[in-house]
Amino acid sequence: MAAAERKGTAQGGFRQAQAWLHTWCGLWFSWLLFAVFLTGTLAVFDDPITHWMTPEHHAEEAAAEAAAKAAPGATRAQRLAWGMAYMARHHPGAQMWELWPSDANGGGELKVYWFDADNRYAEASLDPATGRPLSKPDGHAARATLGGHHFVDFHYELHAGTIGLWIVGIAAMAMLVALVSGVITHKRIFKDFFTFRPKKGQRSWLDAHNAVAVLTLPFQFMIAYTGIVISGTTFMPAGKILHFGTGPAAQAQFVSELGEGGQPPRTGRPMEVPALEPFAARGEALIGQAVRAVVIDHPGDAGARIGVYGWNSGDESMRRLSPTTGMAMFSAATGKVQRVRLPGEADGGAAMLAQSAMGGLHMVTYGGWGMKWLYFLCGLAGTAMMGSGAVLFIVKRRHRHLGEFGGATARVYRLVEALNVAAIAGLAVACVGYLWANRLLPVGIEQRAARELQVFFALWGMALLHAFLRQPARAWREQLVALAALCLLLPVLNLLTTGDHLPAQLLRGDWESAGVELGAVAFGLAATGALRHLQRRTAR
Amino acid sequence: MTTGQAAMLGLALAYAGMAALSFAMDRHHEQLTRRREVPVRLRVSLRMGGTVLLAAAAVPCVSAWGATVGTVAWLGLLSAGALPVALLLPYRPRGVAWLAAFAAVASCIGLALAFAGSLR
Amino acid sequence: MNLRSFPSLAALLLLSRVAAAVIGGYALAAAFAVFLAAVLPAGRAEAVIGGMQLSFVVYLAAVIWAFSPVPLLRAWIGLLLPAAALAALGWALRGAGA
Repeated sequence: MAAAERKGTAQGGFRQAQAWLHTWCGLWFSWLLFAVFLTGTLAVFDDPITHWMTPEHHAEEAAAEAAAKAAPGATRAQRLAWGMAYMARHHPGAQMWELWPSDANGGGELKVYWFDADNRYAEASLDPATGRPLSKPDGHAARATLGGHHFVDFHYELHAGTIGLWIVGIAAMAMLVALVSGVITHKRIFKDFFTFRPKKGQRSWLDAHNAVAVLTLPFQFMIAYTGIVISGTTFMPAGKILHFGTGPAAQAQFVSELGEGGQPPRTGRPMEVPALEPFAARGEALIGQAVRAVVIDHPGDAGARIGVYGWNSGDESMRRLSPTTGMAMFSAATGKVQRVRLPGEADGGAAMLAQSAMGGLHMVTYGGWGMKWLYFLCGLAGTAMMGSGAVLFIVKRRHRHLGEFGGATARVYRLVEALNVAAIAGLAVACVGYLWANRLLPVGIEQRAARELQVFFALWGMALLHAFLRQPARAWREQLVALAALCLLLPVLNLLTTGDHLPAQLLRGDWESAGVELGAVAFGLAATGALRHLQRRTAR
Repeated sequence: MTTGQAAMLGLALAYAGMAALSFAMDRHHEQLTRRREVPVRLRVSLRMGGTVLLAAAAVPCVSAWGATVGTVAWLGLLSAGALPVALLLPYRPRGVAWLAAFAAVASCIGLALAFAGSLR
Repeated sequence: MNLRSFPSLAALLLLSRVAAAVIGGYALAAAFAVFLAAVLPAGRAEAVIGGMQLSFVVYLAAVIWAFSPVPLLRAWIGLLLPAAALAALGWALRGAGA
């Protein structure tokens, strides 16, 4: 490789070395990063997507809303008492009781949580008017689905647990390297700031790649770095290991020194859990927020601790980066205040606050819908940055083999071409196909949520196979046609399977469903535009 | 000011500012006027005006979202304003210019109204 | 000797440089995390978090530096030596910052 020989010798070699680094670090991670970025961009609207994917819930939600407005149910004090009675009767030995008495307005659902025998989070819903346990909604009426949360899970761990998390983390680090090396390589970054010359082949692709990257550069750096730091102690445990050690005891010590505070120690002396309402009221006053949850650690023990957590108001969410809610901890036995955390503060000092703010920055927990749309736009730009980079690599080498791999170069280029189609068009097909699966899979089948996921991965796998079996130009065309069709016909699918359609959604103010369908149509139009571009190119 | 209004105002100011900065460059000035070079006085005024517009975009942002989040929103809106300039310049340079002029005027009026409202 | 089945010297040198960047860079970043955790003026756990947050910037800088016109050997030494030094310092100073 010419660049490798030049490295370490020529003076102007720095920019060339960085160009080499940018090309190869960028290329090998482009396909994975495209997937992470596209699903991350869709994850901004995971709740609206989940809403669209659970049409049976619409009637339920509407009824619940109407009921909540008509009769707010019992008071908080009563709800807390019912919750406690339920827990005392059904789960007296649990290490933790968690009660969510109401929504921010004092109405809504009454739910309780605990850790079951397998140490998994378990929940039950109680009737806010009577305190009696509500039977689970008829499993056959509502379809089981991961909803939009699939995009979130895939985005940060590829549905593959810790290994997936590491893979995404490595890719994010590669993205940072690509960003910095790209800036260093881009000689005329200011002069070319607005430069976009369409219809000029390779030059156009380079211009497009530069434009979407440079114009959204602050976002790209922020999103990659915050993404890494959120799971930073997993990726960089060295400090913790050297200063605290390994193993659960060290972890517990670490967590408690951070100020997050694990469970308090048991005393072994039995003590009935006191009435919760006074604690809730005091907590509410201390943190200045309506009560969201009351958590009792070691219920039934004299060392029990009662934590009161608040709801972030819309205004607080709008104006604060750190999403932490207010919290007040009390000793159940003495009623003394153990700790107060004001809304937005972190359990700890400056570094923990930065950690919380960076989490908020990455997951756009702040700023309202306007911010979400900005993230969506910049996310699409980032996705385009990766896709255009991968395409640029091939376009540049279509007419001039650069022989980077000696005799194997042609085969490597063929591999890249196929991966480009599968990673870009194929992944998009899988994403919209997931929505199609949601409507087409029978509602009552076993493991329905897992099946929808299988459709997603199956479509992606088929796209990969297809991309290897067909010539690149044909593969692009056929997958883009599939993409355009699936996207543009999504509203038709919805109409045929649920009877719902855009005018009805708009009439009842269902912006979420309307947004999903209009978004799909917009993506379909973009795919159609790409097809037209392909046609013009092959015609030229 | 609601965040929706702030976003629109901020976007208009960011777009107008970015457009102004683009026309201060020879390459894009030529796209608009067919003249090779930007006259020095025009370049300076476009650069200054563009910078002022970009800075002004921070005002509705901080007003609606507070200082921290407002700064983040401002950066995002700068990007959102720059992207259409780059995308549309090669196709409709005059359209970009007219839209920028309109956006600048409309957002200045909007800002003035918002201030007058808050003073009252 | 069948030259086609033997990776060229240039390819091996390149692989070594990539390894220096990836492994040496991580070593340096981890060492920084350990060192900062010892010296940052905050509680021990807080400093660990702060060190972790900054370590990724160090990693990024290390990778970029490894792909500058430095001889390959200097790339390795330039990353591993400071890493060892900082890690040793961090170990020696533990408990000092709080």
